Amino acid sequence: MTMSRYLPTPAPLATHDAAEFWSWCRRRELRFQKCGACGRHRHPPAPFCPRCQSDRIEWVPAAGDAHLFSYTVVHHAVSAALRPYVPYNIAIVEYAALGVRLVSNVIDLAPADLRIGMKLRLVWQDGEDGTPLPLFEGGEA
Amino acid sequence: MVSNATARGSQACIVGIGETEYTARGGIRDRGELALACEAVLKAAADAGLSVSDIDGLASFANDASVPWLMQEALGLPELRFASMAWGGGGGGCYAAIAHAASAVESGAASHVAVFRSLCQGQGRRYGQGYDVPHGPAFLDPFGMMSPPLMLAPLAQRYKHDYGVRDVQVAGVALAFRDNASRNPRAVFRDRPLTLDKYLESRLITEPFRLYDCCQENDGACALIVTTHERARDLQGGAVSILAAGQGAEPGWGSGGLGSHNMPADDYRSGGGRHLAQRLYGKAGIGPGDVDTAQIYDHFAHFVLMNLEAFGFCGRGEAGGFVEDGHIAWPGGSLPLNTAGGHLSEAYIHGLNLAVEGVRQLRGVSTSQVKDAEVCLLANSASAAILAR
Repeated sequence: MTMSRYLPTPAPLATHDAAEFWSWCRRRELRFQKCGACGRHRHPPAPFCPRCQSDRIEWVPAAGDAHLFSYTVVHHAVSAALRPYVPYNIAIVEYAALGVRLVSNVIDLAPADLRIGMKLRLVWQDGEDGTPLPLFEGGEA
Repeated sequence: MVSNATARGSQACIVGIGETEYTARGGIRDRGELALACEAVLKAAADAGLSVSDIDGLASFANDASVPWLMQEALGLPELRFASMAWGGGGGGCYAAIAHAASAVESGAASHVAVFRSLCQGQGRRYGQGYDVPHGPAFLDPFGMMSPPLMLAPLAQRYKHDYGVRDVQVAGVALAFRDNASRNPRAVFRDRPLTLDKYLESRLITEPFRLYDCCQENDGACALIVTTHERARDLQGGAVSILAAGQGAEPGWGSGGLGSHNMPADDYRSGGGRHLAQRLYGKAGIGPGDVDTAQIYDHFAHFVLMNLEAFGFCGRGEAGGFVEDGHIAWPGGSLPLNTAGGHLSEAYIHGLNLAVEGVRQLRGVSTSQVKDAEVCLLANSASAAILAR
């Protein structure tokens, strides 16, 4: 099935720590940094562990349930390119078991059906430059 | 309230305030941000009874384009001994700039510091449109999160959800500030009365923010002159003490709305500021009950509620009821807020126009004067200051 893109947004511009996150995404794998010394997970990627300051880094797959931590539904587009796409949502998605959140979109639900705390599942959709974006669905599978 | 004159000799105070006209975005076309910044500083120096050549320090925030060497050249300052730029997302560094100025004069690094902010959103960047933050290009822009309202709305949404805040309670903030603006001849929305019906019928910008929850985009500049009480004795009066001022750096300060949204959950729904509040009250030796009026950073109305809680004026989740019970209204409320109209209704000069209004309150010359006001809090989630008469 061909799916249209949720938003016509710019491709991720990733340097340094962020580049590896997106190189995993290009393989359609959502991975987060995990401290190689104390085991703390973190997002966004950073050069040192904020808990133990180690620079040993592992990239581990997102694990456990994802849920909707918070969100906004955008009605006023910030650019002409986004105007045909409102209302769209921006979701703050939490992987509670890892203690990390990422900014994304829930692509299958109407604004009125979004609920804080709802379970979400990861889906991939190609962005502007073909980079797969980690997006989410909340409806029944 | 404050200690005696001898003890406070080396303590920082504000001795002058200056403002240009405030207009809607695009209202000022004949001059730019540098000219406005200079005009505000010149007016603040005149208000203090100082010669502009007495100014030997400059402080601003949010990457103000009027950099110190341009300002020194334009104003003809003989010697610039101190210049600082507070870090922080948007106006988050506003009251930190006052803290920097206070530290400079108290340490002797400078004698008279001008704190200023100048914005021409009609000529340059609009804050309601694209906005660069450090994680933006890699982690926010691809998902359509590209402006401050979009970045901050999820914090307000979570706050609203967790505490059952109702729209009519948030409306109370917008209505009170618009009412204050109606008495302020400088307010951009002085002649635009707002009703609850009009508020509730207004369009959504990004949930939960409605049109009237969002600050304006403006052109204008303002400035304050900071010196010590010792030096202020020779000036024309109206000195207002800076009892405490500081910047927030609690866990998650950088991972909130303008960051990655990984702020600890309990801070996320408060917007931050709770640790900063305790620190500043401790330094000033007062508590929230001693504050007569507050000027709270109203980029979005929900954050006024969150800051009322963070700064201890009511319990967690109680700010909606606090507003509904009339506490923030002028003149009858226990804590009149944003008495010039705030960012929602006077103008958005990135928090510094709220500081100017705080000084007016403690001089007794506000257009919505709080009777016998002795202590005023200036606050946002990332910086704050406590001023006293």
